[in-house]
Amino acid sequence: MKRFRFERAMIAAAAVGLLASTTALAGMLLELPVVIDDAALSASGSLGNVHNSSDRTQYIGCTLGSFGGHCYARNTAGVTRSCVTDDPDVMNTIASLNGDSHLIFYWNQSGTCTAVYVSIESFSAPKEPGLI
Amino acid sequence: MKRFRFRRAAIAAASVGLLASTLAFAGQLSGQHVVIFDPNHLANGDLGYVHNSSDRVEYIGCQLGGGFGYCYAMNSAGINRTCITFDPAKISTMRSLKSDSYLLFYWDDSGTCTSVQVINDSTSEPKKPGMIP
Repeated sequence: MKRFRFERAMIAAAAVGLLASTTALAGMLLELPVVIDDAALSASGSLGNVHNSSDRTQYIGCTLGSFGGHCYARNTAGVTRSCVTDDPDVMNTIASLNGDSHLIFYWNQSGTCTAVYVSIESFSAPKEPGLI
Repeated sequence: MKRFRFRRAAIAAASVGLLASTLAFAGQLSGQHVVIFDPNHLANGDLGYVHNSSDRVEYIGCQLGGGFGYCYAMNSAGINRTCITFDPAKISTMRSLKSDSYLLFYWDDSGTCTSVQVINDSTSEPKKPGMIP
């Protein structure tokens, strides 16, 4: 399990590094809409960017409760994906989610979250008030 | 480095109780760009201030996953530094990171985080909306 986590961690870390390196010339303020990748069984997006978008279809986020954790996303095409977890480590990660965090979650065929990553960073946008 | 020095000084002062009776810092606002100091293997900066900066190169933040934490920073010169940790205590610290926090992290030669500090206080500025064109 540890090796799996380490490999996932390195993949996630590499993804962040790649993201940063490929956008350096374009600036470090990024728009990160909901992206659903069924091949990778993943969904991602920045809560602030998605909130601020003029698109009123997409959303992304997680809930936490006594049942465990639940992450969900819908892209601009209306495709919805979600996963549930009762893994304490994953639930702790979900608990760190903020209004302008960047969220990535992976699921398996049974709908269980296999990994959840939350990034808190300078280049994601905060939610703008008054959009409702 | 001004912010870094101020915080270091403030921490040192607090440790000997000198802040208890003063209002000198009340209402103080400050912000720090991303500073990378390789001799000490450290990077630090204010997430909100960096976000709002006209400099579109620098960034700083952390990512949390199941059982790991990863911090990263790039300064205005395009130099980036990162570290990773599986230490629950450091991961717990990373969980306290907010969009307007001050973040300081140290690494060793293997890229492991040796220390992570997060400051959430009144001096830091929030991210301004509408910065992304």
